[in-house]
Amino acid sequence: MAMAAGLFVMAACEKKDNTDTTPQIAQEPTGNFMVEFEHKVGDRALTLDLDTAAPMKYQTTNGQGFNVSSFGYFVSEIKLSGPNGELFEDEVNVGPAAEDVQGYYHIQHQIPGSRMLSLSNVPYGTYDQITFTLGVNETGIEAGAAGGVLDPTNGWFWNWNAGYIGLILEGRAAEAESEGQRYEIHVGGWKDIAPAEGESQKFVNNIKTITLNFDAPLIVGENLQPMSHIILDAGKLLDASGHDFKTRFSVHAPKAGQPYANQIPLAFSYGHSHQ
Amino acid sequence: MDIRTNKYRFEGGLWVALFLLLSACARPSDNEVVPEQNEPLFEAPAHFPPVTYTLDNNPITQAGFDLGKQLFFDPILSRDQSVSCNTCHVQSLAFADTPAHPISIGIDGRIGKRNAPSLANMAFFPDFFLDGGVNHLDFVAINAIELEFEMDESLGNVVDKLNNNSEYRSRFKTAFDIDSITAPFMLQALSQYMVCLVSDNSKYDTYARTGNLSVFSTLEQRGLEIFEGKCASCHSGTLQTDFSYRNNGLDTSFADLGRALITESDSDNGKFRVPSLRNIGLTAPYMHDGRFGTIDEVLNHYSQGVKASATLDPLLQQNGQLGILLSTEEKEALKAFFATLTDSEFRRNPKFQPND
Repeated sequence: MAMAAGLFVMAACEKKDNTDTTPQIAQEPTGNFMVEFEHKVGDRALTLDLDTAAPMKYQTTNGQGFNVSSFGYFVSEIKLSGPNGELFEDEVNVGPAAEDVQGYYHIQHQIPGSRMLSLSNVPYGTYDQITFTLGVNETGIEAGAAGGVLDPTNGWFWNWNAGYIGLILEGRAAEAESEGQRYEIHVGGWKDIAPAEGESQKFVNNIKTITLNFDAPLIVGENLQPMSHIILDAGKLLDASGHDFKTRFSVHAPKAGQPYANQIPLAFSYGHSHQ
Repeated sequence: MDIRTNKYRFEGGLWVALFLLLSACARPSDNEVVPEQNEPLFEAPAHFPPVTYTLDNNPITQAGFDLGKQLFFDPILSRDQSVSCNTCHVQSLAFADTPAHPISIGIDGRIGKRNAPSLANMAFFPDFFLDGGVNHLDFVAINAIELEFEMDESLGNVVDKLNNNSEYRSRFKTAFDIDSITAPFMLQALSQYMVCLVSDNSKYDTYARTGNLSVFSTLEQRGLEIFEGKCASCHSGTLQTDFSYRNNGLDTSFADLGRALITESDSDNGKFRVPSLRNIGLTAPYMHDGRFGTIDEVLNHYSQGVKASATLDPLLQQNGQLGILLSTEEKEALKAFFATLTDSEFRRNPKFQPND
């Protein structure tokens, strides 16, 4: 955080006036770190089926056939840490203009570019762990109307119980007793509000923090821009407690989404890296 | 001012130090609300609870306020351009709905679910709608625009319609310095108008500012005393609400689950936010579904009509008795006190009326 803030100070000064003679804080050298999200179902790569006659090419662990027409999620608050105390925290900011919104990534399978993140201003150093938030927590909501990937016209905003949908998995399932065998699993719910005196917590907070270790330290340095592949197995989401396409084909509220949210940390794994 | 802001921007001493460093070179942040008129557009009354609205993220300007006002009165927000915000939120009624519409009427004459509440003093509310489902004023209008029985329009379509309107493009440019209108700026403009809807000029406010009981008649004073003894555990503070959600015994089973729709907990079935009683003389009918046309009916409900159910508020079932004991004399005094909550200046303030 301190390093990011220091850079922010520098950047602001540089923008204003290059001839400014005010002594400046020595700038720490920084580089880029790439993260690519890969989507799978079991051991197969995820591909989307938009055709309503497409076969149910995947199976849940209890043998229910399904396919996927839409898959996406929000990632935010990315941190990289290293064995020598290295710490990079991606700047997070919210505001009404698209350019105000920083540190929120809307990853949608059908948009390949959205699956590739480029983290900049990462201080030179060695990193062996990544942490991020799945969903948009109170930081992204309590600031009010936001633009860019958080613009509520994007269809990922619940109006009645205000907040962003953190993850969407949709498609068709053989057993779903719905029109066109459609299923829609929308995982949302962020409210982490202290309960009234004498009451237990009622709100379901489906925001998840994911931490993954790299198999070897990765170096950010001059001419060294690592890329890490992170794998998300959409099939593991359907291992959710009580999941049965016959009855669970329309998930659109925090409590209904909770079993799927609980699978999210289990569905992510570290893949491999390029140094 | 209690500003719920991005925790990454103000995180203790380090940040203060960095901010000071930064201020030497960065553009100064100007959060002062400085209108062209002498009187500020928004001023938090000293006797009110803290401001909850994130003013730092959306500083109020004359141009932003005027734009929000134009949007508030413009049916362009609805699918067929027939319903505007003020269709159900009428200034002369403290921005509540007419008694002719106990349940609000939306597009194509569709009947809604609840009585449209007053919009007074929302800058001080912790959450919105009678079930508290919306946490921020900016998001309030999304519900009204998108609900099929209110405006039945998509947020994206509204933005498109506004972008096709050169006057709006120009006004958004003036207010926010943007060339293309987007939803968050539209929502911020509406919030600028709504934040300024402060009702703080009733007779009760004169008392609340000074503590001087002599502004009240003897009957009004008696009403205040009864109110404080028998009503103010829920209707507390200068806005007469503790912003909690309670079941006040209207029903034994619930057509509208209220707060439980948001918390998804049976223990909240039939609970709704304790409403502010400001301008209660203007906001009939009463209750979430507008079932009581008069204050008399409301008082009779509390004294004789409270029904038991699993979630009935404990304060309405004390010592084995349902409801609140109120004599005829006490009810008359309460009504006299309620009349002091009417803010006549608020209901006719030209500042809130369309410019054209």
